[in-house]
Amino acid sequence: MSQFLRRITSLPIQSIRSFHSFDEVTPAKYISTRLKNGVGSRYVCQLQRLTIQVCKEFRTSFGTRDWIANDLIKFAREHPYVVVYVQPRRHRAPNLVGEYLAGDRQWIPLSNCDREKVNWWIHSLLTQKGDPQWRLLKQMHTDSPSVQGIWTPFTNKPIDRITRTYPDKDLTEMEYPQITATQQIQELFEQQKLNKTS
Amino acid sequence: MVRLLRYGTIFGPLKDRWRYLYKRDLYKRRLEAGPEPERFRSALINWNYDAELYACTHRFGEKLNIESLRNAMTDASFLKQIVKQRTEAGLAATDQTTLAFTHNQELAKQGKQIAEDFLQKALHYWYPKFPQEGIEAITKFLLSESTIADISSGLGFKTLIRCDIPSPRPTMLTNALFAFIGSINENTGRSRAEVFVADFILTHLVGKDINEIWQVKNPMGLLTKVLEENGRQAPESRLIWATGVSSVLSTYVVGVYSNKEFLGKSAGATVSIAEEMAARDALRRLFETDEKRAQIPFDKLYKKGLLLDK
Repeated sequence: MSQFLRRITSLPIQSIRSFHSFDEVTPAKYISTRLKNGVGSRYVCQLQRLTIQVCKEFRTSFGTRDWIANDLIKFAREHPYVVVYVQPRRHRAPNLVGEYLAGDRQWIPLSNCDREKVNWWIHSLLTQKGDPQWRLLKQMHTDSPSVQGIWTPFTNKPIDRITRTYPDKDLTEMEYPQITATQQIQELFEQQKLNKTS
Repeated sequence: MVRLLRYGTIFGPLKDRWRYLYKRDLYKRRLEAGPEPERFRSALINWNYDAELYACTHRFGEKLNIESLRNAMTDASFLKQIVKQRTEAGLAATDQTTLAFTHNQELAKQGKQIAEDFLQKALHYWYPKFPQEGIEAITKFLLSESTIADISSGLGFKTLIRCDIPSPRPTMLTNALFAFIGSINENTGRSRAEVFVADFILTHLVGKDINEIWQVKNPMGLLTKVLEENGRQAPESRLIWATGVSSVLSTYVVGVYSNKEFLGKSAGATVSIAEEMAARDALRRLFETDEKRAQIPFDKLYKKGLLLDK
């Protein structure tokens, strides 16, 4: 049903603020980082530039205006690796556009968001890789397989089997780690005998 | 005809005849106009090149001079384009020499040399028994144009490069990354440039098998050569196990020995395949590059003793 509705409304761009229905089958992928980020001695913030589009008059931009007035300078000082552009646009809805190192783009509408929520979305863009949001699959996978290697019927098979002559006496004899039930009963019987005689 | 664009939905269904005709005309005109031409990122209104360069120096934690970085990001094609424009505008050749910046060819050469030296050194340090030929093959793979261009576009140089086309070619991306390494060397010293190489180029080896990057065509021949050099006897292969010999799923396990000493073993569908794979296994064990080997400690190469003599 939701798929049908979405087809009718046919939103041109899907922002990550959009609602995700778990009924649908959407594309999925494994979680990964670009260029093994953080494996070396440094972490590189993937957000390259941030554009805040805001209106100076309309009520829908009140939180965005608040954030720009109070937190923008502090944000720019703390994160000098992000280029921040503020774009005043008269009588239009406020938006947040993040552009990432790999060339991806994330768009978030900020209509009617208060200052805290705006801050939350900006930090959401700051801390992500920037690729289109897909369902994440669980990674049941390893790049370094086990030390033993893949098990085969020959793994840990004793190598002296080819040098023996069959039928082999050592192999036909069964080895019992514990005493058998028969032996246990025999032992008990002998103990009883001893007790009776003494 | 497939409908590529919407005739219009925000005004509701197209009941009015005039609105339908109007939208259909717009639709046809949009198709005739064709796709949008590719544009430079700098053509958009939210663009400040100095701010971008400033952010770029902070992104990698390098203290670079902005002018130096500007030179590193300038491709030869950009300079050529400017000279051409000036010539067309009627400027004399003497005026053309007064440009405030140069292109990055020299810096790129310098950066590539640094990267090559460091990669060979690091690989020699971590895989001491791996032959020189193999290390050269891995270095060549890491410094190949496709690898470096991928790294360069992943580090966001795609929009920072100044060149004559909107989406830079792989050679331009490669030059920009090497020139960046070169400018780190000029500004803050060689060790810092080498750390950059370790962090961004050497890490391309994560999840890759270096035995597969270096393709050995005749493993048994190489094994014989290596054993001869070490003063050991020539390798002998022996069949250890075999099952399903007369079936489709036949399996042979072949071991390689030298003077009754075990070197390696592997399974295969035929005896010859198994023997070749066993030789490869023996080589892995001799060179100490098998799967059990620990990864290169990318973040601690300096702490682990590499390049302490500097």
